[in-house]
Amino acid sequence: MGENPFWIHDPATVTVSDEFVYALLGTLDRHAAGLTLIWSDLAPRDNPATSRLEIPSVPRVDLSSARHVLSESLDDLTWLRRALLAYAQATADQERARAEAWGEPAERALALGLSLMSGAGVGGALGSNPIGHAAGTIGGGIPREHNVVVTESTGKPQVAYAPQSVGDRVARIPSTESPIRVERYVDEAGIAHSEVYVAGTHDWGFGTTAEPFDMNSNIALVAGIPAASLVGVRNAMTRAGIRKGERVTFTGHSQGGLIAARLAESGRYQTTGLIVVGSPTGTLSITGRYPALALRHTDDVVPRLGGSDQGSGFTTIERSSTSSVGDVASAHKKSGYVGMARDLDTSPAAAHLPEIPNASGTTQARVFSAQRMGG
Amino acid sequence: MDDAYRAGLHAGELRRIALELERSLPTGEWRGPSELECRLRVMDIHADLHRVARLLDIAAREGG
Repeated sequence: MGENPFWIHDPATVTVSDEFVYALLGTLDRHAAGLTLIWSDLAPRDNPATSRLEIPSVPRVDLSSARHVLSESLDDLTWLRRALLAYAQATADQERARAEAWGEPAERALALGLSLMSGAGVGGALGSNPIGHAAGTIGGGIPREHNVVVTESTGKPQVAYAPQSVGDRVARIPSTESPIRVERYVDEAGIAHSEVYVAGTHDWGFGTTAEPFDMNSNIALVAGIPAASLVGVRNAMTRAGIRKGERVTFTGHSQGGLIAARLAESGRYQTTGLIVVGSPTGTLSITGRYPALALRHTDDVVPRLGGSDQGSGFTTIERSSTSSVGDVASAHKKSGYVGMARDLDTSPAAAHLPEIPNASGTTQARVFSAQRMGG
Repeated sequence: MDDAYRAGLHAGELRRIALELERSLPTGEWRGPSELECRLRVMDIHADLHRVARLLDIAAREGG
């Protein structure tokens, strides 16, 4: 892991750092207040403003020296925190400059090409969200109403234990043949907490088959218009008994991540967490108050197809897939992201990432396929 | 809560923080500001927290 560290972009502090800097900063932040409280508690009795700890029966123990040493520790901690933050912010500035120099012109060129190919105007390619605009223009020809039927797999019932980590969740994203998996856990108080997992694109055509997880849905999701695959997942959730307002954590790969994010933001459910892996979420913005993680391989081109982040609100974790140069398919594979998520669970940074609440107990996992009907 | 008991609690908390800091030291290639300086600061904080914890332990033991 040391040779291929995670790079973490934290939207709360607008910093970018590698996993070790991130972990150290998190530890310092977590304990600064606690140490200050103990320091205050060691104040001598002649200071009436603070709560005090004094052991009058033990004059040999000089607590003022303990307080002095603790004060030096707090000075060291403050220095270290400032140095780490300054470094992380300088890294974020470098990333921003790099995106402006290379990423944005490339994004505009892609948007311009897409707009010209579709016979649409080129004005949107010059705006602030060129990919989203291009997708919206192309998406003009995609139907807005979708009739999608979901079918539950009838294989051997699968008993599922409530997932306890990012790795557990990413590993449960199903295959693209049956792209929707739902686990609904109900605790002793009768409160339901569901986990919904969504796979990526299955058919790379544009609405030519009954498969809703196709390119039409990809474009619709990037453009923010109704997508057949999203309708399929919502129907599967209803079939699995998930009701409006219930607690749900969403996890998705590629197109599945876009669907997961749209459902998380829909306001229909009480979203408790969102994990997207290898997803082009650049046009999306997270507005809800829940932990949202985006895992990306730096050599995976698919996340870049959504354009650069528009102040997305995701905590973004990146590292190389270590695939051969030019092996675009391997860099995007779900199996690679499962390994990344498992490594993230054991990273020192894991304890400081936004925490996704876990359900407990067991349930029966339900897996669904989806089919577009009519039109 | 009496003072000796509180001193013991603080000592335990300081040791826990010191341990967590020690575990936060990078084990792989460091991509941050001066690694040597950062390590030295963490080691200083670690040693100081243990020193304060020892003093509080004595206070707790003899005060209780």
